[in-house]
Amino acid sequence: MDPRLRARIEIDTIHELLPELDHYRILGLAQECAQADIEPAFRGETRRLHPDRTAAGASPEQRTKANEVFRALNEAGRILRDPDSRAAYDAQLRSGGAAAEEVRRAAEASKDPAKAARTPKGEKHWKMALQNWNDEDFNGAAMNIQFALQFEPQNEVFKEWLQKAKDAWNEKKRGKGSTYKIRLG
Amino acid sequence: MGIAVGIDLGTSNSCAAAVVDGRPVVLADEEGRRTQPSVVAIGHNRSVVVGTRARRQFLHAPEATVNSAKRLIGRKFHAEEVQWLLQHSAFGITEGENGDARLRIHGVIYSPEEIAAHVLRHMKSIAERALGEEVDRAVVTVPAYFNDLQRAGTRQAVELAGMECLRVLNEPTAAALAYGYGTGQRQKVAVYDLGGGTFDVSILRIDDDLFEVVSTAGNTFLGGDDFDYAAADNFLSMLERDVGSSLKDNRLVRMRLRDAAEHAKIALTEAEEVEVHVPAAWRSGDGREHEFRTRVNRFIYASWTLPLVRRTFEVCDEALRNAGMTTRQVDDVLLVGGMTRYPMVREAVERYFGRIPSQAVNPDEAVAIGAAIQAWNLTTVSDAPSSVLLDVTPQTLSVRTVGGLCEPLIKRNSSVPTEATKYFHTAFDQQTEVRIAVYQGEDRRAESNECLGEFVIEDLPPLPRGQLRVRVSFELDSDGILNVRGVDDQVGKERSIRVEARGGLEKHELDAARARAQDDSGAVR
Repeated sequence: MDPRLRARIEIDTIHELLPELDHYRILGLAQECAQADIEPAFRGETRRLHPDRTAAGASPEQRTKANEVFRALNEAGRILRDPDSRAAYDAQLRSGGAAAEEVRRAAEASKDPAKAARTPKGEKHWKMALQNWNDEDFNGAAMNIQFALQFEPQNEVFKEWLQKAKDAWNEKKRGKGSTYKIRLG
Repeated sequence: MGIAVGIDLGTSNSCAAAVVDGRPVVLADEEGRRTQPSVVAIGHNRSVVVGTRARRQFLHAPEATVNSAKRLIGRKFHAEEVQWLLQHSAFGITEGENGDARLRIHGVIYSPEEIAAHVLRHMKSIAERALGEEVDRAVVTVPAYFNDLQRAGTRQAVELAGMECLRVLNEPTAAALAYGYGTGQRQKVAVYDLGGGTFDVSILRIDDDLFEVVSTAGNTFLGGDDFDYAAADNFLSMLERDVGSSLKDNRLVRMRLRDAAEHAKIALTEAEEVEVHVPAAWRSGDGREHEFRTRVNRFIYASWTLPLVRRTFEVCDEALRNAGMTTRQVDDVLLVGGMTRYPMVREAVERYFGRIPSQAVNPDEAVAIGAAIQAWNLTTVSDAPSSVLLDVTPQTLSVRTVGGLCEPLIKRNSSVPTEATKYFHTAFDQQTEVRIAVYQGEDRRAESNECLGEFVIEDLPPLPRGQLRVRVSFELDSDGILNVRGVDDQVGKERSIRVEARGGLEKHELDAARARAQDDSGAVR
């Protein structure tokens, strides 16, 4: 069979399965595979499934499918090719099912600024900082984050937001107050 | 259906190629010229001349001769680069309704896309004559560091020229394809691409038929033109000293000196020293003609342009850093772009990478050949070996948040196609609309980056701040064309934009340009 036609059929099949495929399965790998197996698998699948391979004569719908499949493949490659992000992903998979959902939520919560504080005193200043931020008092927010950091010097979320608050304060000082009404968080 | 070709739309020169009987070939014009000047000259009656003939007209009518439309594509009028070009060009540049740069020639406003379309139509007709068949589709190349607006503008130019744009391909990637296609090699290559107006460097991993870009960096306003301007500035100082008056505001004098600088640059590839002579460089108030005469050697020329060469290596440092590599880990270096023909550039690159650059590709033709191979890949169904390109997005894509800061969704050097999703919350009580503004660039502050477009999700239920969540997702396809979608959690209102649609021309401008293109199609070019 024409390899491109075969690829197209394969793309259709994978596209249907996409919601069920984890990063390993989309690359045709087992979770316990060696790190060295991942790169060749990623390259092999890229060669077969890249949208350009099947572009000639494809309908717009077929192109969209091929792009969606490849975006998933690309994401799998990005996560698994790096040993650190692979380890984090494995931990998530190991906890399995409902537990995986817990992990995901916990991970999301740890990114949620409102739940970033780890100590009572840190939390007190952190909450004040968030209040300042919402009132667009970025200087106040920066000061309160600095206080919070005295109690939790290692808190990466605090550090990130301290920088953001400083930038926002500089921005405001230059008379270019925000006109946009969305914020991260 | 017609044939699909590859076109390298360069700042200074353009080149077309196609795969014929399984082999990529450059398509030459009737006189055997393999590249064409990307120059468009416009007459008082709006007649258009393109290529070599337009280049000849440059000195007679510089104000009606556009030699760098590519530098303006997808740019805002107030962009620093456009303002710089305004100082250095004889043709008029003005601000379009949407803030984009426009050209004004003999009182008529043209978009840079429309001018570029003239060059592309010229390349199309050369290709059709060479192939003896209709050309209706093209892969066109852009500097790797072009942002999405510049890509969208280029795509629009291809369509205005009467071709379907199969792909907007990065120039260094195309060159690597020309270099590695069908050779079955496994190595890491750096592509040093110094063209007429832009500089790019890309690091690629070639594994037989798979071409993966590891990182790319560039400067879309650094190229051969800048070398000419640097030399011309020195000529101008000399002339001013000779005649004892300031000529800084005299555009015609500067044009003549720039042209002399370009000729000197070309002559210096062969000779160690050249004489520069402009017989009538300036006519003073009393009607006397003043000539300009000097001698330039390679050493002096290099001293004038050294800062420019240094800037290219800063970009190389950045690309290597982002690839996590050192110059030692690069197996081969490709030189692309007309400027890499110059000994001073070649020698500097050799010193930087510690190896003699490859001679395997022709710096003027490799990009068009790579584009032709990709055009063939995308349109041909056969068992013959084909190749897969895994390219990256050159600049970070973000959403603007409170305080004018950028929240990145897709980081630079992410391989495409790719997607990313983030959640954003309302910042105020009773907020009923959310504005999603999309930016591209590396700065934390939105205003320092390029705004690609924005949209508003309206009529949201009024809730306390932070209670309403909007999911923003970015989808980037292999063209670098971005789809942005925003959906709120409460009522599921969805809004989206495609950056492609916003690029370049407003609807009525596009219609006018299309109508003019129709008129011109009968005119002599």
